[in-house]
Amino acid sequence: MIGLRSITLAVLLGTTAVHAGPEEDRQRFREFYQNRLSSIPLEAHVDGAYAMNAGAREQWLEMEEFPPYEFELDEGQELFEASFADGESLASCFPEGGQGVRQGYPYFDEEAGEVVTLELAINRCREAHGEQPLPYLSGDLAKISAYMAYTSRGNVINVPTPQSEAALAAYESGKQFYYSRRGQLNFACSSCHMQNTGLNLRAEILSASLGHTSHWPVYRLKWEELGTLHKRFQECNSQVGAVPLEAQSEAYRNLEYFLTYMSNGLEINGPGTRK
Amino acid sequence: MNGPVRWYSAALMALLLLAGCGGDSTPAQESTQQAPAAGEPAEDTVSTNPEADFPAALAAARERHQQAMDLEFAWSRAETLIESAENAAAAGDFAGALEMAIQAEKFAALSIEQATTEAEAWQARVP
Repeated sequence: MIGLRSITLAVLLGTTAVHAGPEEDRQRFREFYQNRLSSIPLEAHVDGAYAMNAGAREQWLEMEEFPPYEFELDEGQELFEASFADGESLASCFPEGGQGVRQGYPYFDEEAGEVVTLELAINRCREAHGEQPLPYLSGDLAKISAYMAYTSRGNVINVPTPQSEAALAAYESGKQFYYSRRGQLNFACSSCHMQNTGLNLRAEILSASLGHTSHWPVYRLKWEELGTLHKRFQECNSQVGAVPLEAQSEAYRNLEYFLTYMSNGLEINGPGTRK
Repeated sequence: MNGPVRWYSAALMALLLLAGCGGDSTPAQESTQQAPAAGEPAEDTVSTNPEADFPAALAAARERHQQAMDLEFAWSRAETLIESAENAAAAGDFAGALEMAIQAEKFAALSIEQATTEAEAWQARVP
């Protein structure tokens, strides 16, 4: 009888994390990194792998003095302020005129029943004013998003806790995506960024997922331009031998929703530079 | 894999010719691939008529890969093998094309298996 009770208790404890609510998930997520990388303050993870290696950090900080995204950031401001054909601009679609609002994205739109990312909101604004949507991976959309992130630097990520059934379903979908192995190499996001975080994969240090969404869009040296978070999602999936999904697909938006919620309380520091 | 399949094909053809069983059907008329059981990927069988067998093998690979795509668990290896099979067939290399189509279906089947397993397995990774 005692044995049966023990087994039942063990099963319940084992399944608690899976069925925990978003806020409990976030606390456990933070505790995981606190324990795994105890020498690194949680807030420092917004700098990714540069929070983990002093030499790499020093080089990165020097690069950030004259960041390679500087010109694209200026172009992003011009694009943000440019008038549409109907005389309106992007500022008309966002709270606070679109200044310093990055920390509230993505959010779950209860009316539409879906996750809205900043890039999706930018394109929907353009379409509402008779303009063509911009490509989601890089180029003008990434520049605009970078400018909006720049005006939000220092603001604390504050994605509202999913409350409705639909919002929770989107959150859970993103959570499942994050922990599911994919591709011929059989890797989940968590395989690199939790199981092996802090270790090296070839010459690269595997960053923590805490803070993963704080610094996008990013100028990656290998891209030689600013790219969006979903471009990186695609790249990660490709690297493990999975067919990447469409940028702004429901699955990727839900993944961004989960990941960003995990980083609630950390500061926006985008756009960023990465190798 | 290309070498052994070709060798077996050649050996089988030689045996058939020696036995006087060459037959008179044209290559495109007769399929020599054994149909796989429902839900199972094609097994490695020696095809004596790759040109006839290729269309069905390609269709099976495409179908299974599409199933994996719908599950959002598709593997890029299956995709590239399907493309390579199509290119090989277009170039007239039906033996190679058939082999790649069969491999593509196997990879696609593995990706579906992964999706099925991960529907539950992911939960064990949540801290």
